[in-house]
Amino acid sequence: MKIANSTAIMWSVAAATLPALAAATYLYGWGVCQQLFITVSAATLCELICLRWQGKPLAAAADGSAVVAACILTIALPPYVPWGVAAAAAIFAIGLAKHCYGGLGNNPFNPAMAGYALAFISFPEYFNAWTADATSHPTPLALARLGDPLAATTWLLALPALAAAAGGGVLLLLRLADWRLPLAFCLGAVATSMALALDWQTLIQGGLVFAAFFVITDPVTAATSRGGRWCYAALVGALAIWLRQHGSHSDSIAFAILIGNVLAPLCDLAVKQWRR
Amino acid sequence: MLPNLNIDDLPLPTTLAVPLAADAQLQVQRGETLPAGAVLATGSHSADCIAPRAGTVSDFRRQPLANGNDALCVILQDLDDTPTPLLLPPLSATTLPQLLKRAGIVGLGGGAFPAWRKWRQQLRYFIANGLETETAAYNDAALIAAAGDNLIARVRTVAQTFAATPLLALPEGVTRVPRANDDPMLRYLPAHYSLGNERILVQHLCQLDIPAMAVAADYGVVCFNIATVLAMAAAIDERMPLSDRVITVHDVDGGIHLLRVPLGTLLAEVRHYLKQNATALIGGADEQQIAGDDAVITAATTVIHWQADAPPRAAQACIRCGACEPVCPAALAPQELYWLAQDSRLPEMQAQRLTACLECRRCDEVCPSNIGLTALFIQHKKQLAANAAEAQLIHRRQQRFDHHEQRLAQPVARFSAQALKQRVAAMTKQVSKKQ
Repeated sequence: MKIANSTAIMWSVAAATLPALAAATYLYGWGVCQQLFITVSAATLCELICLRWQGKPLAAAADGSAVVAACILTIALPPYVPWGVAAAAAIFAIGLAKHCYGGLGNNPFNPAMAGYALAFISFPEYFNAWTADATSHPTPLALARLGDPLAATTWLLALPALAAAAGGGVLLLLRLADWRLPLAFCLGAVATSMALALDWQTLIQGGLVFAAFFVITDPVTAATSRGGRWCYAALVGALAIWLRQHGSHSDSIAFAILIGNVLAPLCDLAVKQWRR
Repeated sequence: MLPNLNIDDLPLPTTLAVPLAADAQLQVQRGETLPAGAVLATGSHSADCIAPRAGTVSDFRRQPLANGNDALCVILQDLDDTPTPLLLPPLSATTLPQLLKRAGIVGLGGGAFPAWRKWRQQLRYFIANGLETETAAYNDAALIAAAGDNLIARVRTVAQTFAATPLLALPEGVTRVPRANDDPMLRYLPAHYSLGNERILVQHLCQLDIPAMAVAADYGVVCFNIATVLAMAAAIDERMPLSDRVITVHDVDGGIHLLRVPLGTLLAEVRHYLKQNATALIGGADEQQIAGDDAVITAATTVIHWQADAPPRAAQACIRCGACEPVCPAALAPQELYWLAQDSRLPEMQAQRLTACLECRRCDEVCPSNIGLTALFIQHKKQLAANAAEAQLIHRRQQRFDHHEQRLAQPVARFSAQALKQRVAAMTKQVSKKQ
């Protein structure tokens, strides 16, 4: 039985990011909405230009994949980066990470994460500004890493994670995303943080939960076989925690996912070989 | 949800075009007037081509067939509806294939395989397949409903002539055979198209794996569509040849009609009868062919769709969601095959067992991007077959050439008394050694 068509899937995923966007707006202010507007417009415009350039029907832009990438990007980016940085990240995501590889379905990397990583590397000075009032103080995650007890006790920390889980849970219930991916991701992350003896609270901080429901579940860049998906998501979960602890940035999920994207076909192949 | 399963009879057409099998030799002449059931042509491998109705042979010409291709057809006109039973010697186990061949019985599930060639001396199971072999077909359900109480008895009659244990596969929940729900031959199976496939059916019913290219009969299992079984029963009990078949017709407004048509009916007759004015698509949903008015309805024609000329929904990009993988009855990875097909990587597609695809369309049904996967696979299967045929041809040519070269290179053998003496000596030695 057909569950939905691709367009419906994409728009549902975009809609499911709304609770997370609302939580971010509550925490960081209206800047999140401005940023959403900037990324969605830049991504859509870029999508249209790329489709036109390749001689594909412009109607393909209505499939919603650019909007999904923009929504994910908005959550991933710090809320008060200059509008140019947000737009650049969206253009990186759609133009470079998606259309340079042949458009929807052909991209090896998750467009939103690739856009985020490119913007991160290009404009590193803006990426520690997770501020609510534009006076510079480090992100809650950076604080937790520094051992600030205040940051670790506030329940607000859990709010984005809860909101993302609410939206993502609906996706899983409607079977618009494969439940194996978030589950394996969480198992990988939990196992690694237990191995590294980390505080359990680090698991709900940063974009980990959001990534578990919205980024890892991107079917285009995930492994395709069932076994491969378990392997891929668990690997990314483990990498995310490990990079967070030992990498040079406070939150390295984007990099973990990009590395996972490269390894996804290998996961499929490895599982197939192992079964033989 | 089943439509109204009453079978209508198509009024007697003015013309019938009976297609001849590739190996058939013509037995009639132009102008000859024939009774119903007369042999028009006969071949060593095919079932006999018989006249579905009494009539006069007016012409021989190539006609397009509803299921694609074209064939030389015997054109019958001045038709008459009186049935004539066949004159045949009494039935015994060994004359059964003869009877089936003479009655022109071929598989009515869509394959049109000559029934007589499935007969074997030692058979274990006789499977009557009441599961539809095409999507959108209701032929089997209608025939089962029409046969009613007689169904079990008819299946048993045919199975007895084949000297095999009968099994009657019926779709779960859809069809119930009245008063015989507990007959040991009944097997209820989930109703999906892939179970109409012989190999998968045999696997389910007999726990027997038949190799992909093998014939189930060689493994002691013979499997017929229920329509074929009923045709065989008519031939065995009443000596009636196969002259009609039931087809499912979907009209433009979404209505479903079950029609009994004489084999060789032209599509125009059905169009006229149902007052349709649109494009006719033949076949289940898997490989639909557009057919013109002069197309001939054969034993292989199961479903006709009359479709208003609306464009089908455009395919979107594959998002690798993998929904096609768990539904594939042949355990293929349609999604991977799709990507390989994009670059026509045939060897890799073959390694992924493309040829095992049943063309059941379940991957098309679940694909959120509406990609016509089955059509793509059919196209590449054809390409694979063509490549294999060409490779074989090249191989044979090379072999022939090599043999020719070898022959030329050999010195011409001359008679030599010396050599003959030596050989005789060697042979006597061998013989004495043995003694």
